[in-house]
Amino acid sequence: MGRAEGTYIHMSTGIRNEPFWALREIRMGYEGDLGRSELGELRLLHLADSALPIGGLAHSLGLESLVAAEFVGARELPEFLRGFLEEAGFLEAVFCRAGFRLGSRFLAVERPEDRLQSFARDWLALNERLGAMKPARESRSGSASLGRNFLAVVGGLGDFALVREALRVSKGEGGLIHHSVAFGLGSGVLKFEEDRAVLAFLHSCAASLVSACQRLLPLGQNAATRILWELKPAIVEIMRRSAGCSVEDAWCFMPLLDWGGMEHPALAMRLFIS
Amino acid sequence: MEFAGSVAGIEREAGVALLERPHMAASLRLDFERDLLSGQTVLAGSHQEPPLKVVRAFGTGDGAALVHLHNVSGGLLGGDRLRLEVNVGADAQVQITTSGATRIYRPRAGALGTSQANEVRVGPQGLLEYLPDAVIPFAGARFSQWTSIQLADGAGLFWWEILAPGREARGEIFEYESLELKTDLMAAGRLIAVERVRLEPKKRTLDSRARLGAYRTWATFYICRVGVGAAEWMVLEAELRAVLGLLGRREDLLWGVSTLAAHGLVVRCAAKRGRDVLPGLREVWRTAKWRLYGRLAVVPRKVN
Repeated sequence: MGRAEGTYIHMSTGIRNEPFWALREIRMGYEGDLGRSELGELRLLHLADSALPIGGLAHSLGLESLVAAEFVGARELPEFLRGFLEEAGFLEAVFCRAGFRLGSRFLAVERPEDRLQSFARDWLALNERLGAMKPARESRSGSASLGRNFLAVVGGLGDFALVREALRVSKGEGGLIHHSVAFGLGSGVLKFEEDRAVLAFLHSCAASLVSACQRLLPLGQNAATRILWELKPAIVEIMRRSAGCSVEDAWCFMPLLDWGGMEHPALAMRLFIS
Repeated sequence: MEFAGSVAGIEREAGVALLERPHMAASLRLDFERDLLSGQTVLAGSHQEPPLKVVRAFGTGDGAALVHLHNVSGGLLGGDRLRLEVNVGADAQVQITTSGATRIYRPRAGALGTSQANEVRVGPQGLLEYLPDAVIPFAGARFSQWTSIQLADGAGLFWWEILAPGREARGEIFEYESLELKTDLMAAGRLIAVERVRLEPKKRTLDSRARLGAYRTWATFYICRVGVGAAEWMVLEAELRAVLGLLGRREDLLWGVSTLAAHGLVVRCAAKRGRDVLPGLREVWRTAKWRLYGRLAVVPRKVN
């Protein structure tokens, strides 16, 4: 093996091998972009963890009603979750991307602080549109509670003008901040890689629902782990499909879950807030 | 009218040639105004192109105008591009119904699907009650609908839509090719409800427990009055929930109700049998109209 300017060249084959530190530099991307760096991956894992203190464990988003009505049991859960990802997962993934791109777009311009007014208008419109697509009041406010808390957590991690502005304008205008949009914006501001951020968000949604089911159903840890494990190909597919869809065309058809969210306030006994 | 990701888009994905011209492009525009002398709402203007047709407006006895939407071709055919525009003027009250179910036929091989665009504007203090029969997509049908509703200050809306699974009586359930429903509902410049439904039963099964489960017919009912406060909507939500609880067994049909982000609420229904839906919608309508307007809901007189 010979060495030339940090690159190993195999003497017999002539194949170039980058040293591990050079590879890390390449993965870091441009100008310190956290995109696929180890530090970026760790931070993304942290923010997508269901243990993040934003209240994720307090919401079933209508699933509790479906379980109470015996529409969904442990046996039907894998099929239900696949359908959930195809519909609600797809919708949220599209809005997560839109939030991400909103953040990235403003960070890419010179003097983004001059564009805050335009950012605020787009931010409010994006959240208003997603709120209008959630027919059940409790599910809408549950998503908004998670979104507001998530963005406040991100805002506490550094000095991010866009996050500060998003929180300020939403509060001032009485607008909601939805979880997927907030996750996207936070990921864009933190310069994660877009596809990875959407993947992490979808995975955290699926994990939260499986976790809720462990409290609602006779579902053991091993079974829950297996269910979540087997959902991963579907999560990847939804992430890819969401890349080419605009928020105007993002669809969602989940009448039973909508019913569950609408009926939840009337449940006699509840484990979850929504 | 452009339909992003619509029937045409689906056909492109499916590789169907788009060389054939649309079978029919037609529009129907209806302008309603309140006559200042009589207080009666009248059909002040209209533009009609077959197959869409309205014969005349009838008085309902409470100052409103009732019209029946006809499709003289008997249903929507492959390639039809239809457009409905409804303008309800300030203080006018309008009731619109259909003369029967809207049938969506299967297009011929290689033909385009069917699309309809609905643009609705309700002026200040106006009221629109849109109470059609069900939409029935036949086996092989491809249909795309886009609806935009804009409500001015003080405007009211009762708007229901019923989607059948197909021709139930002959056992034709979810055999249509694709169905796309886009609805944007704006009140006083604010987006309060958006629906984006894309159903492709052969690609994504509708009897999934994440979608319709064991139910077959789906209905949505928007009830709005711009300016009514959030607390009043919460009271109406609770009242309607109590009414809906009496409308049948959960095994047969599900009813849900929720306030929208502002100015209204939405009622949803999923039913095993289509015939169970309409009586429930009418009961909700009666209750809500009395609460919001202090007036009786007058069931539209049918002409067939």
